[in-house]
Amino acid sequence: MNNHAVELRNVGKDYKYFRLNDISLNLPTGSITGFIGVNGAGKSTTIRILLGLVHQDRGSVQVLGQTMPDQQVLAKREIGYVSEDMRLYPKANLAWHMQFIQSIYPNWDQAYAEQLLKRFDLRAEQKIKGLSHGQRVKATLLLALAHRPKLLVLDEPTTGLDPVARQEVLSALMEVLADEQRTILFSSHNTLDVEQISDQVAFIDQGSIIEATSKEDLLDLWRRLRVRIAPGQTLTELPHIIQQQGNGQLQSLITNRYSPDLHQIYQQAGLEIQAVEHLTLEEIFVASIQARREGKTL
Amino acid sequence: MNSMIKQLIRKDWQINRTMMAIYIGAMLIANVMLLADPDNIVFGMGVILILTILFILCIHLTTSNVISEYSQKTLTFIMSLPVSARHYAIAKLAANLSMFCVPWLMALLSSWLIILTSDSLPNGLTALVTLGLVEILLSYCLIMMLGIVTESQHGAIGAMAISNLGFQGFIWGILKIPAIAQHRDSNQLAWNSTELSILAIQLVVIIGLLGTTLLIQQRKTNFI
Repeated sequence: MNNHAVELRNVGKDYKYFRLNDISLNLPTGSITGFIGVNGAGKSTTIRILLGLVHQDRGSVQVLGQTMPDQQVLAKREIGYVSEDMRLYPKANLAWHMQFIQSIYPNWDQAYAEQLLKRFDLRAEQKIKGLSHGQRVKATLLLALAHRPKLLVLDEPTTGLDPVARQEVLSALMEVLADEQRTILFSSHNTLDVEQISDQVAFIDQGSIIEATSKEDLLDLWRRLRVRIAPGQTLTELPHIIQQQGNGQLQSLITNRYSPDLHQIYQQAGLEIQAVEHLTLEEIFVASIQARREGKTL
Repeated sequence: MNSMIKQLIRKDWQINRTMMAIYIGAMLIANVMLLADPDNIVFGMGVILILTILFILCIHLTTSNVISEYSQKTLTFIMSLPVSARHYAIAKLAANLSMFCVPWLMALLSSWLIILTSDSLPNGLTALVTLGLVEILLSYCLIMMLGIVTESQHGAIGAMAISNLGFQGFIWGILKIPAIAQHRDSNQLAWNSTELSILAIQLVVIIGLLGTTLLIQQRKTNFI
């Protein structure tokens, strides 16, 4: 049995002003992958390709064992999709949407839908046009979750939500994580949200995947070293340094290949390591983007 | 028919049920007006009302049930369901066509009924009325096709303008054809070969427009 719910191999797409650069990305079954990139980095294009909504120009896409876009109908039977720019029918109410989705998906779980209705504080009889943005996102999430999909694809679902609504959405997702067979792809430019729920992380920038690994590895390997340079000494090229900040003798170095062995290498180069600090996912993301744009190899 | 296509057609009918009820109601009123004496102003108003309803429905249905799916971003929701581009295009064509055809058929059947039961209207008029109404149906197919293919209101409005001019030109043109003009004033019900040929051309164009829409939609690689 394939242990990847999603497999993208050398997938490319050319637009007039944007190019998806033959990306490869695997989502292990049961994983929660945070897909992080700035606006216009290629997150939505990648997601639309894996749903068959946009056809790739190059490369292959397998989703839940189905080849996309040719077998998208079969694949989408097991996919729940929520996107920030997705809208429900404004003149219909949520109950109508629930009935519509129920008529399409045999796995629809009415009890779970009603549970989510209460949890999200939504009224089934309320028309969609009367809902706030937060309520609309929660309504869409309810529709996507209640048919118990094997793959949940969330494209910037928390964008524009107030803190309470954002927390409610994230809590509902955390609950869903209890199902180890369900794979989640969560795209966002908000690293805090991704850090809360993901176990895998992929960074995308200017149409290229620049990092795809487990969140723990990432947080473990990326460190900030506060170092002191001996008077009169200059900092020569050191291995695995992504970013260097500071003036004079006190410097702050960011590495993406931290290991205790680095201490010895840096000390031999005349550095006194004063502190080793963990980085937040946001700091790692920003440092990765800057390093790549400066032409450094990650 | 694929069950997903059926669901999508049902969905479109449900979403547009209020609008359709208003148009069907208005068409009923217009049909009742045709019961008046053909020399009475009410009859004339009924004819104008029928044509107005059908022309407005052409653009209203296209904007509310085709273009709004793009502009209101509900297409993303629909395309995330287990549906292919082909399913979507077939369902959209079938739903729109069926919604248009209810008031259109009411207009066609009532005009036949009025003509055939009226002493003051020649039976030969049925051919002209039928060709005119089929021309409106053809216009609707063109507007719907451009709405679906271009995904833009401008495309549909452009098609509406062309169709409106085309309809006026069509009526003016066929009345210049002696075989049709003579039949219009006669009490002969049977169609002549000229009328049948025009009807056949109209039907071929309608099928061609629908087929072209499906073909173009199937070849699209970006849906949102």
